Amino acid sequence: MQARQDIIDQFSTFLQFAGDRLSGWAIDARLRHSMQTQMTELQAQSSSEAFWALYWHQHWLQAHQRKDDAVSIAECHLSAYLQESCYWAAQTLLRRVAQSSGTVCDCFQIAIEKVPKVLRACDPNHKVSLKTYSKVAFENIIRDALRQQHEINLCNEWALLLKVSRKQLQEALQQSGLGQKAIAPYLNAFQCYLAGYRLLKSAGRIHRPDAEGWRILVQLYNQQHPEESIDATHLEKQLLYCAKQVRAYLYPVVMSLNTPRFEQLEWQDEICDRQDTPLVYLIQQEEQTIRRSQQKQLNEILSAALMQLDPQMQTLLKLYYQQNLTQQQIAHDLNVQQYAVSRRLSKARELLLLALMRWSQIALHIEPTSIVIKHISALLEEWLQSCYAHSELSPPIPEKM
Amino acid sequence: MVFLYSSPTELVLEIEASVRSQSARQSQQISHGQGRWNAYLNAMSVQTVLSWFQEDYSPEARIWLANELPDLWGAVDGAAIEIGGRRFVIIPNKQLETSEFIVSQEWIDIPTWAGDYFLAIQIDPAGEWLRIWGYTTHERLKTLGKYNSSDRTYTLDATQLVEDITALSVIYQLNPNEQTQPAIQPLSTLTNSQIQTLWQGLIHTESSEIRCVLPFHQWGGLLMQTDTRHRLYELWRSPRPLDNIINLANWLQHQFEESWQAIDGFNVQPQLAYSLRQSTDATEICRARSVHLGAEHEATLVVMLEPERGILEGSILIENLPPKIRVRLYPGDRVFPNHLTLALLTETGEIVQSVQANDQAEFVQLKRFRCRFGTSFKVQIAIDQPIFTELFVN
Repeated sequence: MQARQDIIDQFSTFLQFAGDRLSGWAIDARLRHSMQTQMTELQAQSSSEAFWALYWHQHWLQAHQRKDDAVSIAECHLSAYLQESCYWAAQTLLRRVAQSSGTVCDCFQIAIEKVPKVLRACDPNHKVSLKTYSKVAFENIIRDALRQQHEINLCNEWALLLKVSRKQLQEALQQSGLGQKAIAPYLNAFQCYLAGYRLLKSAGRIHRPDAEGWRILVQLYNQQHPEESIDATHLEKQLLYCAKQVRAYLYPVVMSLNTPRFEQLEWQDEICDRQDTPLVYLIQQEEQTIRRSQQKQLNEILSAALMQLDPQMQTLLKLYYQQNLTQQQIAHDLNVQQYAVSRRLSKARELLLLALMRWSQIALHIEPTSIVIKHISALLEEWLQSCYAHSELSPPIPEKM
Repeated sequence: MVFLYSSPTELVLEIEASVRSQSARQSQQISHGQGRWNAYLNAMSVQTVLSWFQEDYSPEARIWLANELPDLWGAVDGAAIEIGGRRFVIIPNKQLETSEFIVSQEWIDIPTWAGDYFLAIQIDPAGEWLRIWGYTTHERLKTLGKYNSSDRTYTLDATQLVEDITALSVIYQLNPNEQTQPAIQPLSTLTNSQIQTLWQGLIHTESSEIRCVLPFHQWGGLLMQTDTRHRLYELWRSPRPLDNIINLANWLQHQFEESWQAIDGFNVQPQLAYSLRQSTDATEICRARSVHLGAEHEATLVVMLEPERGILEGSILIENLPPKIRVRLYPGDRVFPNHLTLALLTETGEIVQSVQANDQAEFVQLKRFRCRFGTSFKVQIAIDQPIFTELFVN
């Protein structure tokens, strides 16, 4: 299956999954009609994908600011448009952590729901395409969800309760079918445990309170709720119930942990990206030639910066972006501390980002501000991923040294 | 485990064991649970992040208000690191969920506190590692953040942060004077009489809730000034009940809590101290501590144990008897305030006996009582509302 080429398709069709597998593109007739109408009205039949992405994005941003309903049609078009980005984001992440996570379909669903947030966070004025920006944003969203699920799996009840918010617990208890009144004592028990845990003597690893701990917690509970009296057994029972509900609530999808790996490999080829990777996104009117030359420059700048990194940093980047190892595996393979991997890897990325920002400051007259760099960082991520994916063994060597 | 999902755009730092234990110890200085969490998590974060800043940014990096920590965390979450004129506020959070970034209003709306950059930190509550997952500026928080008046925080969705911590260093190098703050509305300085009035309200407030009692401009006004800030710290300093259960069985073995001292050092009128001693036999155990009654008014609370001889059968001790207990409060160098009561309460807060002080009295005392070994009770001092409670176990 190929990525969509036709403009109308790109803004009106959605990925279909049959179980965990991709089954095709489904056409939304309403969106298709809307695209056709807009094209005629604007006499923009020959406009590019970038034009329409920008058109609908700006439409969405304006409607969003006015808080009006027109937000919905633009959002549907953009949600359709971002299907591949979202799919690729899921795929990129799962390539790295396949053994412990869910399926592409699960991850895709987690991320595609967040389209409105991504649209709000991406500023079209910062010369990075919505597609580029959103892929990184989707990756962050999926990574967060997976990380959370993973941690919930690993931590014990007592640690779990320390890591959830009151709001999450409240929602979990509601979902378990308890009414407002029935929830209250559980929230009280939770609140008491949360405040009380720090009053206990224990530091370091989190485990079930000991007898002295329970005595203190019970005392605290009874002090805060003198109208009801509770004992340790009852309090523990309530807390364990909370933990159970939180687990069920935060981990609703039964991830298919036993998906054989070869399926992953098959999938990688299911949607191929046939376009040239759009590195720098410049507004529609700008000439193709300028754009090409800027892409080439950017590629040169980053390749040169990459070559200047020390050999260790280059190795780390390669292991991470090309071989898709996790930082855990890298540390294990190189026999270094995991914290050191995290430090060095982010330092390497920082140096590349610095080179890229310097160049855009000089060549594109872009002021280096936090809001700009948020977008440029996505550009760098895209470059790193495509650079390592397209080179078999070593990073590209700049054309001119 | 944390490294399975970490990306090069974030940074995972190790919390050293010494930092962890020091932070746990220091956090005991704060009386209430939430404040202790703040102190524990913030102390670990600020120490760990400071070392990173000093290595990666500048050896000049310093902790702001370093000598007021951990006291500050009794009310406010977060800490600041300064390099030159730039202030980096770090906000640690132990929750699994990082889809939002929540910052206390103090770091945004008090002009002298306001930060330039805000770093989002996820921290392991067991204190092994922390993860810096993004940052943002004061301006973004103020303009795009959602203000929540019930807990006085600004919340920004994670997608609105710069979810790349390496970007902060790049900006720091390329644009060290980036515009990060919009104009911040000044807070008016509080007059002494205003402060006095506010104080009356605050000393009767549960210290864990103190942050949101006053209107923000008044609360901010108190935090802005060094002297009032220091007075605030007194309100949530330990010891308080619960975290410090006073164990009277240990007293009989001559082991005492730090907060309960020998009576000699206290401002108890000599003749009274004398009469106190005279009325009791030599085995009596007597300890005292000071209690803050109000502005510069320290009273002295005294607890005396009269051990009983156990029940003997022949020469064999068959049963220990609990000691008789007496509790007295001396007004110090002033008279008792009106409506002061001293009370004995059960563990669950029911009043067993209570006595009101006469403002001319030299002291006020509870009737001598005795309770079974292992029973807990509270001694409470109230001026209309409780201002001091201590929990004992016999």
